[in-house]
Formats: sequence, structure tokens, C-alpha cells
Amino acid sequence: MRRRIGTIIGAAALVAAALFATVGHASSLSTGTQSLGAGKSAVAMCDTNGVTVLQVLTGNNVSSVTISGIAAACGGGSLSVTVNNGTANSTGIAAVPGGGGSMTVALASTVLMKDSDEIDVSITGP
Amino acid sequence: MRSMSRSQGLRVRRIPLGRTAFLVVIALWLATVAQPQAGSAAGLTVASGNLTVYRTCTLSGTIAASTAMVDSYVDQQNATTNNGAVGTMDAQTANNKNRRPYVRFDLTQCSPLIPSSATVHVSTLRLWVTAVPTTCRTENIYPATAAWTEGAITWNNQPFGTTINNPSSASRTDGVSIGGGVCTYTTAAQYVSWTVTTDVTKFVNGTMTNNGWMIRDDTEDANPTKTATFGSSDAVSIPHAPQLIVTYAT
Repeated sequence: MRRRIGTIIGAAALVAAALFATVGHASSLSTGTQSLGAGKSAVAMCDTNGVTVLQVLTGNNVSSVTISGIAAACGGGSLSVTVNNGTANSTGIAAVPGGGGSMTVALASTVLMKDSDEIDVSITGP
Repeated sequence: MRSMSRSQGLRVRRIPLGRTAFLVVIALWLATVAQPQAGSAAGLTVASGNLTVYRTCTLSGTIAASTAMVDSYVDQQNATTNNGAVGTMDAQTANNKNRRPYVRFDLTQCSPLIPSSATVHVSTLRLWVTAVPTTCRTENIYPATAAWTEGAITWNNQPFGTTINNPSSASRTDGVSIGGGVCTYTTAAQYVSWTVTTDVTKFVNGTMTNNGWMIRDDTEDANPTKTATFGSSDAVSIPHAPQLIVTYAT
């Protein structure tokens, strides 16, 4: 009888330990977010006044995109452009010329021009 | 036999106590080992190079089916005639024969919708020019001050009224030179661009109603007749469609 009681007490202690361990994990997650938030301020922009974006058409399709007015600070970086007409999209990536300025990025595939097209440009600085 | 029984009885009592003690120790150890993981996330760092992101919405008047833009022109010589279905638009100066194009793009067609808090960096209105005046002319663009419709606008009911050279040249949003001589755009079959960033910024943030724009010659009523002709959304091919290009950041 006592043997059984001892085993029950031991098992109960194990269960309690497991529960405490789980609570410990949850509380650890909340403390880490402060450092992640602080990291956000470190991301800077190499171009701050905008760029001019023009679609280049082949027939009725957008085949490439010309981006001009790129700041010199972006020179040597990488530029990604994505054209989305609501039903199809395509992306092109190219290196920003030294000194910035203007560049044309070819898309991986053409996208039909429609009444409304969205073009996303992201520049990862050098 | 009796002593054996006592001895076995003692063993029976010690074993469960020892096992219990062992299990309790393991439990305490597990609980202790689990705790040091608290705070480990604080060691995470985020490393990133500089990143610049812009989004551009391009609205195009892709032939008559376009839902993104409407356009027309008004003609002083035919003051009650609507030209909303005509394939071209004229900006013309001539004595009592002045003409003014009107265009409006529906910014709510942008997908995703441009948020009112967005910073509009560059906005350009482009029209495909099909004929240029023989001499260089300046074509001004103004935000329309009242609502109008493509199928009803005429010279007599246009938002700016029938007064010549109204509004003043000084109040224009932008002006471009088109025609022969020393001009920015000297030949036909190309896009002519006006910078309308200030107007689009106000349309987006809600400080001005989007009634589109009116284009007129900088000096109306000037003889002889000088005309710049643009393709409208009713006849142009898709590569020559009127366009409003808005580049912004959120």
C-alpha cells in the first residue's frame, strides 16, 4: 500500500515538474521581443525622395520596368521589381549601377497591362 | 521465519521511500533545468542592410472599356457638344475656337488601395501626343475644381467656366512645352508627361477632391490656330493609353 502511495507521489511530482517547465518557456518568449524591436531602427534607406517608375511594353505586355532617379547611395546595391496586374505577376532583379541614376530591369515573364497595375520596387543598399 | 519476515518487511518499507525520493529529485531537476531557458530570446539580434521600398500604382485608360479613367475635351466653337466618345483630345488656342482636354483617374482602382497616410513621392500624368503644333506652345495642367462626367461635359458647363485664360497660368500645377522650335516635345508619337505630385498627394490624403485635371494652352485666343492632339481612352492602343503613375511609400 505504501509502495503504491510512494509511486503516486513520485508520478505527481513529475507531472508538476512538467507543468512548471512549460510555464517557464512561455514567460521566456515575452522578454525577448524588446531586443527585436530595437533592431528595427537599424534599417536605413539609401533613397529617400522616391524614384520614377515606368513600364516598358512589348505589345500589350509589360516586359521590363525603367526606374530612374535612384540615389547615388544605392549604387552597387540590388534592386528588385515586381509587376502585378491583379491576376498575374512577375519579378526582375538587377544590380544598381554605381552612382545610382537610371536602370531598366527585365521581368522573368511578361505581364499583360491592365487598367490598374501595381509595381513594387525594393532596393537593398550596398 | 519470523526474522525473515521482519527483514523482508523492512525492505518493503525502504524501497518505496527510496524510489519516491529518487522521483522527487528528478522532478526538481527537470523543473530547475527548464528555467534557465527564460531570457534566451533576449540574445537574438536582427541584422539587415539598408532597405528602400516603393510601391507604384499605374492607372491606364486602356481603350473604351477602361474603368480607371475618363476623358473628354471641350470645344468653344461647339459649346454645347460633348466629345466624351471621341478618340482624340485637343488642346487648342485660336480666336473663339479654344479647346481643353479633361481627364480623371480613379485612384480607388489602385490595388492595394493607396492609404491616406501614404507619402506620395512622384506622380506623373502621361498622354500620347498624336500631333504637335507648328510652333512651340506651353500646355498647362490644373486640378478641376468641380465634378464633371465624360458623357456630359461641354464648353458651356465645364468646371472652369467659359472665361478665356481661366484659371491663371500662375496657378497651374505644371506646364510642358510642345511643338516646333525649342520645345521639350517637338515630335508626335511619344508620351508627354506632367508632374502632378502635389495634386495627387492632396487627393490621397483627402485635402482636395479628385475631380481630375484640365489642360489648356498657356495663352488662349491666339491666332493662328495651334493644336496639340492627344490620344484618348476611347481610341488609343494599349501601349499609348493615357496613364497616371503614382509612386508612394507607406
